[in-house]
Amino acid sequence: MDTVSIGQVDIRRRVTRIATFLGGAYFFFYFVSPQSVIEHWGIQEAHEPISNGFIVIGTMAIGLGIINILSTHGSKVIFKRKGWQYSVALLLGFLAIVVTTASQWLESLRVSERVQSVQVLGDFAQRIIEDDQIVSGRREGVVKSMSPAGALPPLSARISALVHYSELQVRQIHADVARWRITPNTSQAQHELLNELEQASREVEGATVTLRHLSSASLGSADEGALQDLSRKAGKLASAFSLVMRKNASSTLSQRMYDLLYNGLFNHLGSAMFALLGVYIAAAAYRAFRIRSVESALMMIAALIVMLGQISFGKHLYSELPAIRQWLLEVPNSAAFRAIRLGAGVAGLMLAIRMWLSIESTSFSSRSK
Amino acid sequence: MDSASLWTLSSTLIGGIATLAIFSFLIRENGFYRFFEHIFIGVAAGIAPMLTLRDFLWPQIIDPMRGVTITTYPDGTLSGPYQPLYLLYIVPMIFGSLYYALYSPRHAWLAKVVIGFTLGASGALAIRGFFSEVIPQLAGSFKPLVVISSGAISWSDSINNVIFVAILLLVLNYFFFTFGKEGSLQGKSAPLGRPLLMVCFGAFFGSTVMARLALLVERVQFLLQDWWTAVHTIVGIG
Amino acid sequence: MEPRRLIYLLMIIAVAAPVMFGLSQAPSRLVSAERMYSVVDTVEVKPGEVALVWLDFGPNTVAENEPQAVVLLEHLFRRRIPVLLLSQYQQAEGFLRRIPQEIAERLEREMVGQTWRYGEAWVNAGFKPGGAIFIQSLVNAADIPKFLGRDVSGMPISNFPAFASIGGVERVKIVGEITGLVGVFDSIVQFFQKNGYRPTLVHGCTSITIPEAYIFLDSGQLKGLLEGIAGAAWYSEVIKKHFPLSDNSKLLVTNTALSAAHIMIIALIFAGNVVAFVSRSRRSRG
Repeated sequence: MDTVSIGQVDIRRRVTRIATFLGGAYFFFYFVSPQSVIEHWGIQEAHEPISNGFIVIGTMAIGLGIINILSTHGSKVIFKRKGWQYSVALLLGFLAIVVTTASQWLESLRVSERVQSVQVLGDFAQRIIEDDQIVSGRREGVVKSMSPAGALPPLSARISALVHYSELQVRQIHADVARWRITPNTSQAQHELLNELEQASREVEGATVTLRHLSSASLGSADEGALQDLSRKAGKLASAFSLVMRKNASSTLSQRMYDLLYNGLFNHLGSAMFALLGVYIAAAAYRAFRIRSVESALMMIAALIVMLGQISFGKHLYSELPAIRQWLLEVPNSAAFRAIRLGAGVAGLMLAIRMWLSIESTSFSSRSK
Repeated sequence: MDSASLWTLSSTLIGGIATLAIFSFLIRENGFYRFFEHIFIGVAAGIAPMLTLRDFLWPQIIDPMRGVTITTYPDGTLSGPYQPLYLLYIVPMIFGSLYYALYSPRHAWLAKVVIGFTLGASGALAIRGFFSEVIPQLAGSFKPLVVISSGAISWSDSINNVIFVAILLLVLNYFFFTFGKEGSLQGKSAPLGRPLLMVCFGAFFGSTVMARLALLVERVQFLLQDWWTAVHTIVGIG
Repeated sequence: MEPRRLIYLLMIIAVAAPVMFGLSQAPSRLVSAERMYSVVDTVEVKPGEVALVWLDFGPNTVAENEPQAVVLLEHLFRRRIPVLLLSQYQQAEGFLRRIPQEIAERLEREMVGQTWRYGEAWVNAGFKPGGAIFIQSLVNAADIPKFLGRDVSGMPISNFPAFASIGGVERVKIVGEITGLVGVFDSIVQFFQKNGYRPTLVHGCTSITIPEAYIFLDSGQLKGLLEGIAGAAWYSEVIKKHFPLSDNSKLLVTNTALSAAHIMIIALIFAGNVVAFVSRSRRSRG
């Protein structure tokens, strides 16, 4: 075992304490600083990526559980220790969910890429308008579009690219729709969605035709109107297309397998495990819930009022039972629980401060012998 | 029967068998139960990291770092410039990787650094959270002891408020151990908080019973309705 | 048979009988659920404003939380309030996809000719890790759709017209938190506010946390509460009063089975105490 000098221990402890303080310092000062100061120093814009950074630090720990499970159960399987067969089941369950989730994820990436390719149509039309307005001085701001070649292509080239792309997308969608219509087991709801998709694509087709003849160096108001019209219709097309793609994606093999594992196994197993508690509480009710003192009698009476007041038979026993239950929860229970919460809250605050300032530092202060 | 129904049927059948396997534990522990228990642990262990990667790390961190969020328009232009500042996400990634120093006896102390950092952040958030949560609670505790409604005293509200404030003070008093002499008013009234706490715990217990029973009811209902129907369907097909 | 196993059997029979015979009783009136209905029904939501609903539950609390999620989302859908769905809990992922879809299909069957489409009625932003850090970051975002990025199928949320113009948290009029997890609801109470603005907060809790939730109702931090299955059952009855074609028969059977189980528990407590008293008396005499 490596021996560590007292000096090294001091440095380690100091580093840990500094890290603990820094971890809390950002949020503490963000919360106590006035909004004007936060905005002045640009912290408001940076807050989201900084918060994401904190979340990233936490999520990097996801591998710890995986490593632990794989090493514990993997070694059981490899060395054929007692119960190794169950470890095989565990590892298979783990592998199955990882593979199906990954496969379903790849499928959803493919779908979103395809939907995005349609969405781009509307975004591009809108961007052409914005860039032209900025270039011609009709709008303030900086051109957002970037060109690898340096300068933006001429307007006529951009419109030509837009028209060409729109026609390509519409052709592709028509082909997709024709293919989906003849797929077996297409439901009535899916046919209706396909009808809407075809209608939307015909509208985009119509809007594109208007743009074919645009060749001016700058957009007039009519030209902008035509582009806005295409942008709007392309947005509707993208929505209709994404609905169809979502519907189709829900019936892919990867999605079905994921649903089978998640709904068929995981959900049911989890619910069943916790359902056992319902049975155990019955056994505990018979064996352990004894009224031995005035206080336990008080507790039991309160419990009975709450239980009987919330079930449908309770109102048949005494019609005011639900109202008594409501009063019990609103007045005595709330008062007592608030007192507990206030006390616990103050204790929690003290603990949080001690933790942040490393006053609670026993976990960081292990000394080597 | 179409494929969608077949998959739903399979899911229900497997779910029922899994439920019965877990319930078999009530008779005694057995291999059937342990088998499904281990499958559950394996699936649960796999879901968490996959969803974290799929729903957060990849789309919100890795994709912006790769510049994939920038759209290329049909004319070759880009929707915006690449933001190299996204590459700074590598810093928390590397820092978070210090968790894995736990596996090295020599460098295990580095894991304490990242754990400390996370605890510090939690502490600061808890400080802020305390004030957001507790101040309205404190304000809500100052209830008027005489409630006047439409020009007349509302006796039910007034009595309720008196009871509320009295119970609050008595229970708070019960938890003050650091001051108060025996024989003083504070010392004499402290034990009164205990029976009031018992009322609170009784309400807590009554609610807990409902929570536990609800889980059982849901499973039994699933077995007797959904699963039984699925079994009948299969037998009918067979 | 061992007494323990006999008790298990009795319990299962008590729960199974109402389900097998389809027994359904009107649920007990819960004032908190009624108040929540009134709050959700009267909150003013203008075009461009949304409701944000967290489904933070998994298989461990699905029995109580799923009916709550169903009744709340059904009410929001009926009011045509766009709903942004998300979760801080990975195990809720399947529920985020399945529950709103089922409600939409049911409403479309009930009201033929009307549609509740994904992207218009709701959007699923999926699982978001980070807890309190994520919530405070969301609340401070100037553009929530841009902050959330994409939905679970990879579509940018800002592409959906009903959600594109949300802007900041001031346009989130209702926040619903359906959870049984410890600390999750507290994070929403603590951090879901900005510059004095707090949206209307409603909560579906498991029965264990009912006593705790009442202190937030009392302080006004919480405006509506669903107390376990009983709360969801009464809420569904109130919905049925306003929309008679709404179907809550399954939930009422569940609630009735729950009531039968409670009666069995009370009987067991009573029996246990009687047995203990009798054996104590015998011992003291003998």
